Amino acid sequence: MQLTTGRLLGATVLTAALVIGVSGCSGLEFQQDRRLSFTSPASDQLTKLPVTLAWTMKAPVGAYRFGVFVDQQPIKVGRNVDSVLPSGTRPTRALFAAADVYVTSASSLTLRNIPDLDNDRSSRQRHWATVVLLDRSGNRVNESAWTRSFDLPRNSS
Amino acid sequence: MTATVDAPSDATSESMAQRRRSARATLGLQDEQPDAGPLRPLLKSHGVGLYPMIALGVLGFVDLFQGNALTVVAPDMSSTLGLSFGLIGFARAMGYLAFALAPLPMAALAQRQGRRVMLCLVTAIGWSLVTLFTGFVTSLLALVVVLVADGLSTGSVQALHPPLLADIYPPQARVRVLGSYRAITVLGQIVAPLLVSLLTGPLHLTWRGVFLVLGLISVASSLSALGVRDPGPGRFDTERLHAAVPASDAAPQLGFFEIIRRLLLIPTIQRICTGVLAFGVIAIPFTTFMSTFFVERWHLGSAARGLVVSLAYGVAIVGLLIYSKLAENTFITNPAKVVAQIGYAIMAIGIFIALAAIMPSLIAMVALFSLAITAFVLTLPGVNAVVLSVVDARYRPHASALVGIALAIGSILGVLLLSGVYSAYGSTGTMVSLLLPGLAGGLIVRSARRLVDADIDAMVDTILEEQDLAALHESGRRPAQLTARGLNFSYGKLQVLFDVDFTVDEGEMVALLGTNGAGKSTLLKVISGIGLPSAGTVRLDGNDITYLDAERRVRLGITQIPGGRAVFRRMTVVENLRGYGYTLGADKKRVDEAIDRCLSVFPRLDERKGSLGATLSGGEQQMLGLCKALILEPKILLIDELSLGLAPVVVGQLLDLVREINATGTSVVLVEQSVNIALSLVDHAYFMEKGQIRFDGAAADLLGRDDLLRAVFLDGATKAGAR
Repeated sequence: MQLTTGRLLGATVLTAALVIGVSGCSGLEFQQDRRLSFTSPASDQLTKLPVTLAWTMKAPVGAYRFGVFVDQQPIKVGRNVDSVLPSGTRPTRALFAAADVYVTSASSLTLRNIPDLDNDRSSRQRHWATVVLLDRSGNRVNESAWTRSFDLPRNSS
Repeated sequence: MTATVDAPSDATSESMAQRRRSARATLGLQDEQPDAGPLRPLLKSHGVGLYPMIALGVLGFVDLFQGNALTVVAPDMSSTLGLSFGLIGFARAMGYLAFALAPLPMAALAQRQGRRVMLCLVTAIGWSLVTLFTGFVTSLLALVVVLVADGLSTGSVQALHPPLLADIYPPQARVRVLGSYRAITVLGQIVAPLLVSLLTGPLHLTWRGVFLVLGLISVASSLSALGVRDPGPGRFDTERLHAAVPASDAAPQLGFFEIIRRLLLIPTIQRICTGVLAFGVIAIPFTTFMSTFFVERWHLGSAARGLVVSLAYGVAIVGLLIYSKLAENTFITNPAKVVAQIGYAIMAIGIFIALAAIMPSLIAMVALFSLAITAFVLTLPGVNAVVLSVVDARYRPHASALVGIALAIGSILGVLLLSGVYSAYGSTGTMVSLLLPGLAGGLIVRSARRLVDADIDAMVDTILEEQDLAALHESGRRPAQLTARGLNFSYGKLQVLFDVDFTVDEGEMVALLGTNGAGKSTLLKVISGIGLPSAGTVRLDGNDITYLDAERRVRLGITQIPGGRAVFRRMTVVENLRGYGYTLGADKKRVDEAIDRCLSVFPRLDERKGSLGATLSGGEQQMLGLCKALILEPKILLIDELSLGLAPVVVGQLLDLVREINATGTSVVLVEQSVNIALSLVDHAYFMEKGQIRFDGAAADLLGRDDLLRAVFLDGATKAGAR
């Protein structure tokens, strides 16, 4: 088959269409959601347990809750926070905490136990917490995610 | 026909040396050249400007957007998509694999289509759109698709940009042009992260917005190359030499894999690709692990890391521009010296990184890091200039692609190896460990300095040979049907053919004699394409077939009957004959007719046509082998050891058939240990000893050469002479 500019461009557009088709285009955020600001701890601050994670929200949260994921990626948009637990288990605050996931309506959260990072043997370990918005059923509502990193000495827990 | 093989006369050698010097000058290489001169006037005198270099540089520049943006925004993507870093790493690995494999298909496309600039443009727009659409990704699958598409499209950068630049610009400016092009792309290493910071910082875009904007910038920038024109391969160098040779439609062109195989036989390319593979172990992991090292050892934040990297690349750009001018002058007079310098630069990378890793002072670390980056960016323009200079311009995309693939494979190996080192020894240990691939790669590349001049001469000699043939045509004469010139061949490191010249005229029957292990069968293999020479040429009717596949040579009319092994032992006689006819393709009727002809010529085979090859006697097997000639009707038949182990009466029958085949116009090369048999058939004989032609002349004259025909032959030979 003879290669032409048209064919190559067609293949590119087809790939693009495939990507968009596979992706789905709804709810994509191109501008940063700057409604949430962390107030503590300071970014990359060396702190110690218990760590109080606090934030403010510029606009009213309404019916939403906050999902806080420590040292891990949050769930995908549309997924339910229960999916972080083994299937069939009844969700409890303790089980979520054991999975380093917290659900709260408040604008602060005290983390009493943060395990050391598996792949980091340095004495000062960098941890991070990501806050996302959940609806009343516990589903992640949009792509907005706010991350704050902080340091803890190794063997803090 | 010459009676003996003499050393070339001084006058002939001098004339050849003069022609070679002249051809090298056309390629931009001279014995004495004090100064290549300023770039702009030089380009002006050749009617070219800086635009193509800048335009292609811009394409290389925007090519870096996707990778740089991904490095910076990967954590944000991870949060948005709910993908772990491991999965994003997997997607990147897939993209990198595509990038590693892409240069070769890109070279194949350029070979088939010949529209290199169009390919560069389309792929640039392709990767720009891919960058843009990365902003729409919402799943791992989509991320893998865009990264693979990006990897495939960016294959044009290594496969096509350097060859295009080598063809657009005169050879006297090659190193500087490649260096300046590299400087522009290196500038992308500084600008791209800054641009991402600008978009995510003051402009508050998410990673999606970043890719969208970068994609749009990339599309717009790619359009700036619309005015670049492809002058065709070798406008300033090899094509000028080829211009003296009229184009022939009958001349077989090498296929893609034949070209790759041919290039991998060039010692300089072998050596440099091996060295680049070791260098690749540093290339990508270096930048990845350096960032981790900055964090772990020096606790540098993202802004400080960006500053250090930008500073280092800034120093590197200045170093590159200065070195390019110096290297140009060196390259013109002594390419081998540039090869040595590249080797030292690769070694320096390893040394500087290792020293930077153990430095107690931040300033010293940054200084050493900058030197390492400088040595790093100096390497590729030099490698490209050397590799592109030892191959014919038509094969430059393939050569460039091979370098790119070696680099990419080395990089993948490096990531795997150094991930293990990192787990065991941390980032400082990983940095120090880069010393080893640096030294190894540097030493390997440096060792290519002894090869480069010979390889340039070999390329030149092939073109000069074509010029000679063209002159022969012009004088109204025809070249010999088969010529082999200056053939060298090795089994691994054991060289068995040394500068062999061999000629067969149309319709001639030639005997190739010699002691055991003299290289007779090997010479036949090189002629039939079963073996490929490390130097020299094989021509059929004047057309170069040195690197054609054996199968294509059969179609062109060369058929070999290997000594005692011409039969498929587990197939019947008829199946064997049908196998010989495979090359005739789907023409079943023609094959059937040829089989009938064979069976009528050899009634004994007709009687045994259902028997397995393994059950045939030696004579029957040779009869079956000779049927190959009856079926394929070659122009040249190469017969290896026809008489081996056969009764005289059988040998007589077979020889009669060989005479008949020759009488129909087929040229025959008969390899024989039995001098009496050979000399009873032919007028022209060659004698080989220890891989060299020791005699080329009339068969009768060979009988007088007692020094060659040793006791093992003498008795039979004398009898044959008396007959």
